[in-house]
Amino acid sequence: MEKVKLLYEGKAKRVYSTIEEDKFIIEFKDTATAFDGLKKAEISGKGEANCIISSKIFELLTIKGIKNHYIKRLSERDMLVRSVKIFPIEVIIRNKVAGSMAKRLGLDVGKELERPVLEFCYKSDELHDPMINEDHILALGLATENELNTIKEMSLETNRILIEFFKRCHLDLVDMKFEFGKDSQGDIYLADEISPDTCRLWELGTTTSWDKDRFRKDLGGVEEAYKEVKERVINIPIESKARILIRLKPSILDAQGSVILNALKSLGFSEVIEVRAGKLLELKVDRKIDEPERIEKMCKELLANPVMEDYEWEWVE
Amino acid sequence: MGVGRVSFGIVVFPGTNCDRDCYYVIRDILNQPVRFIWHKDNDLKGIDCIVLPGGFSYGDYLRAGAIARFSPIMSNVREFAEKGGLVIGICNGFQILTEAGLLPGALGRNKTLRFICRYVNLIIERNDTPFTSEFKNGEIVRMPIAHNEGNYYIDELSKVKNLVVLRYYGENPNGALDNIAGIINERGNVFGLMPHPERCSEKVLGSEDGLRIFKSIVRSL
Amino acid sequence: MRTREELQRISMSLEEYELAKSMLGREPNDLELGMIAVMWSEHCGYKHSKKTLKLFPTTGPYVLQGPGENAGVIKLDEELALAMKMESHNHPSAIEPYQGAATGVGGIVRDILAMGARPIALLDSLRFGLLDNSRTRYLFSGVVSGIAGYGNCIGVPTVGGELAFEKPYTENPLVNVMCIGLLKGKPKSGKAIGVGNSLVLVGASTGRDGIHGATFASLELTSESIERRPAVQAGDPFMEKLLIEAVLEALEKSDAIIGIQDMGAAGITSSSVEMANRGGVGVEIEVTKVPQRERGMTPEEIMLSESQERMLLCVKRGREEEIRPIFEKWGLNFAIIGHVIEEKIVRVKEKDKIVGELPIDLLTEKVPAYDLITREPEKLKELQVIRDIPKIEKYEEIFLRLLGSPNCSSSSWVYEQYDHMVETNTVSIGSGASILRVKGKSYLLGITTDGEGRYCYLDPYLGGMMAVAESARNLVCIGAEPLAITDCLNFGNPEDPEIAWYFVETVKGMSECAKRLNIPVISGNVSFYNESEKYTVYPTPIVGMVGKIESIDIICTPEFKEEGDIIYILGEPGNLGGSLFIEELLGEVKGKPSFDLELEVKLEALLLKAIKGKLIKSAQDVSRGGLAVALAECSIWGNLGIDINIDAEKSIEEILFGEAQPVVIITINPSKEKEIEQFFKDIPIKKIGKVVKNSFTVRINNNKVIDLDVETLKKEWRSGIEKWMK
Repeated sequence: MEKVKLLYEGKAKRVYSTIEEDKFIIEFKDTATAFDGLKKAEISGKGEANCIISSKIFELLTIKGIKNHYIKRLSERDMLVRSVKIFPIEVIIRNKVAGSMAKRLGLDVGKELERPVLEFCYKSDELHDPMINEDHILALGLATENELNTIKEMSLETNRILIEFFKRCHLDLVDMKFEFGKDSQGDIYLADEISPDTCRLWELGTTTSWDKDRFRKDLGGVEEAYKEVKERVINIPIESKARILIRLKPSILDAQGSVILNALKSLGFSEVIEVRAGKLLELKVDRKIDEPERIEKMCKELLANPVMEDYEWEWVE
Repeated sequence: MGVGRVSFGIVVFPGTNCDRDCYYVIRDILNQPVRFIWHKDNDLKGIDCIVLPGGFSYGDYLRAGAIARFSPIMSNVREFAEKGGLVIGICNGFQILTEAGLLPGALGRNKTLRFICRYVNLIIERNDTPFTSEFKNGEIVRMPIAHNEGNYYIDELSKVKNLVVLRYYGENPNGALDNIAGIINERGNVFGLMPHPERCSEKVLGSEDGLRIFKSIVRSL
Repeated sequence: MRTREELQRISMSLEEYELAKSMLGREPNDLELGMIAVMWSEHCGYKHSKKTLKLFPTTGPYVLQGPGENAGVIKLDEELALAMKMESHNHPSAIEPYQGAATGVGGIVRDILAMGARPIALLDSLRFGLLDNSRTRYLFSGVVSGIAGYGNCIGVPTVGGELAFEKPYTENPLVNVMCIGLLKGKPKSGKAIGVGNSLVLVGASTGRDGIHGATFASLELTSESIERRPAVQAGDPFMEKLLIEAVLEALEKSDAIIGIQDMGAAGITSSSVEMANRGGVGVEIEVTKVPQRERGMTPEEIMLSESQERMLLCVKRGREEEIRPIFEKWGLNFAIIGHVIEEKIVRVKEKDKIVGELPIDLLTEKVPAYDLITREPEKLKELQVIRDIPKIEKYEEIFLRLLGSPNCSSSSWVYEQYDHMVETNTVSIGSGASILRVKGKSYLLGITTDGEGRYCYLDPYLGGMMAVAESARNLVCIGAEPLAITDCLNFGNPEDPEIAWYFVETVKGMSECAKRLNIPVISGNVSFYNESEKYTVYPTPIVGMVGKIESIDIICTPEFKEEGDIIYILGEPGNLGGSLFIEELLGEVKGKPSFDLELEVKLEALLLKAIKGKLIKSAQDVSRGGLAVALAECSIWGNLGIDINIDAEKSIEEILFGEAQPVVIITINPSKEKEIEQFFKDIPIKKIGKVVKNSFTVRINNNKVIDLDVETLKKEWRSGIEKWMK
């Protein structure tokens, strides 16, 4: 898929249209900004790291049933996504006290919260993304009540899944920021990215930062941090199931299919026009990264015979 | 190597079951040197002709021949073929050769959806190969088949126009495209066929037509 | 204390439980009770048949191994011996035809392998309901593809057997599988000996499949059985093929293997206990050493699992590593799961903890053996009388109907699905007996299976004799001298006195005939409880027999050879009792079969001598469908017709379609007429006509009753099964 037109350029990403109306390409940049753009730098490898980390996490979320805009990763920096209309709301979910919450409420950084805290901000660069509450959202028509409820549920569920996941990466998920969007059908999708730019990640059981705070606070080792998180995320296998369907090519007589067709007809199911029989394989895979290509490769090299068979596959829960 | 001494190597995959039958014909009927080659070995020293025998390599699971083609020996077989060595694949061996891309096309499930084991009539289409020189062109011979997947398919028949060595004659038992029962590669040193020549190489078994394939190989070398 | 219901689930009566408890002197725990239940099941314990089976003659000068091992063995010559065995897989096939039949093949092949023999051929004796029933067609095609799927893959040719379709088998088909194998030297034994020697499990991993399969086989089939599907195992023929090659390679390369045992019904429990029993020792098994396919299996599940493609070896202590690499090369498990102990018990351990302990004899010799209560069925006398034989207007019509009925017609639809040629020993198949050559030997082997449930149903004693006699006659007709019998006895519930009577009478008849023909029974199997809510199967003894043909030029085949050859019949054709003709016309099996044992003995001896003396050009046994069908087969196979006239006092129906035995059709060169008549002067012999080109003409007392051509016969005969299976 090719980039057609630059639609938007943000601090860390560019969004392009594609020839397909419902798909965008997100390009991850190496640029980092902080404090509303006051601090700015190039961090080599950051774009690539965030692209890979986000891809993997979106894949995990897909398996776990969280709808998100991710379709597939196209290259080291490019990600193909579903085009959705972004709600002008930033959702922040916190598991431990840090950042603005510590400042605002005068709490110790690192304090465990009894339950996750959801905060909402109104997306506006001029207003510096001010915090709002649910009433604001509804009163200003930023989202309907149903949409807001869905967004809240999806946020909490995503948080649960990612706490577990990052724990396996030996990281504490302190807090993170989400954006949501909806498609033309009105279905709500988790959007944007999930990476050290949008998550606060600490070494498990410590307050050592492995995220953008290293950059914000000039802690050094910024490039290494992104790389480290990328490595850890890549190396955690997610057990998932690939369902592969192998069928004879349409041009080839499917004797089995014809026999089944005749049997169905003789049982009175005269509405059946055609039957194609195939093979269904289910592969339980410990996925790291680039598995779509790996599965494709498996299909081409062994599972299907390209001379006479077609295949299609999908990840299933 | 003296005249008429041709060394055969029979590759044994897990699940191969016609290896000993081929061995018997080559050693006891043809009186030629022969040895088994385990699929994990890679020593083809002194071998003049490689036989990929019939059977159910890897249980024919997934597709007949699909897994066997990844056995270590197959890269040696490929190399051997590239150097011009003779390779004959019988039944499952033919399936392995197509899966490995050493022969064009593929072998699909019989149109009857059943295993078929019986004698069929075949017509010799080419006797200018090292495997069929003992036959006449257009000659009708009888050999047994025994397979589930012998339905030869290729997307464009023109690709094998001049490569067909054997065709089913009269009745087509499995639905094979253009009645194809055996084909050879462009270079003329890799031959695959669905019928089992080793099963009809002795009078006591009802036919000796198969022995002529082995004799052709010996004559050509 | 256990409740009756609890015990019923494992097919054990309260009385048996009490008996086991008193023998043990304590309450068995769950594991022990499970082990007792399977070992005391009919399938493993033979408790209703043990006493009756003692009637069989089991010895002979060339018998190397009689009943009691994995298979029987006979000596072929100074170098080679032949192992043979038949077994039923009826119940599993009724529930899941493909896997039921496939695992039946797998089991019998491992029995032969356990004798140290390479399996060289399979035969299948199959019985189903009528093909107009769609469930029958499903069972039939499932069983055939199961046998094909398994047998073809392991590279053991399926070279023979037979097939019948009768109503009583509708819900309970019979799938009896026979295997033969060749071995050099002394047969192996399923024996554990030598305290400290290792018990090694080889082959597949153990899962939860088929737990309590043996007890399942000891029950009648009900609609509930369908829900017991988990008791059916799935087979992996590829694994079996690897197991065959690995075991044979290990036996060839090392003498460290002392005993081998198939692991079939009742899994590790029965195989380890049987090995211990034969060796007069005890065994200790550590269940966590068993390679498992599923997580969290209990000791009971491990001990009772019937996962397929496994065998148990007894290996000399300290020499395990000699053979491990062979099994690993073939990609198989090789797990030392226990060892031989002195005390004659089976001790089951989970790590260091003893979880069960039972005396070996409690599970073997002391399994209760019941005296059968027998009663001749009252309806039998009535069944043996045929009233109102329907009047036949056109004999040709009924003749073609019989010839084209699945019970008489070609079975090529079946055997073309079997690889019957792999191993390149198959010389001929498709007639009464199949012929295999033995590489490197001048002699050949004849093999056959036979057994008519219809005859036994009407007269079990005669029917039992006829099953043995027909097998022997089929062998003699190809020029083979019968050597040994393996059998499979398929009956209903033996606790029913009428079934018990049928069983005992059948075995008596078989034994009498086997003794007179001097053919020992060297292995076999009993399958009871072959009944459903609606039907009980005919009492069906299947006899598998192997014979030896001296040399290739002696082989005699049934098809007509040459125009002008003279056709004779040996024996007296007639008697419609139990015939297919009566069944076809009346819709039920009726009458009293007829069989002459004295004549059989004489006929077989003379016929074999005549064949060896090359006096005869073809020989064909007359059985199902009578003389007319037998003649038609000779014509079809030989592509030649007949022109015959039979002078007889009996009715036309009796002559054409009667199934009296023994009757054999022979042809000879016209120049040998005198010689033949003189040769067979001590038995009934009748010249009936000659072989002609392609017309099939039959006259009785000079009245033309059939006038057809061979092509017409062929068409009917070929389509008998195929027309149903399209």
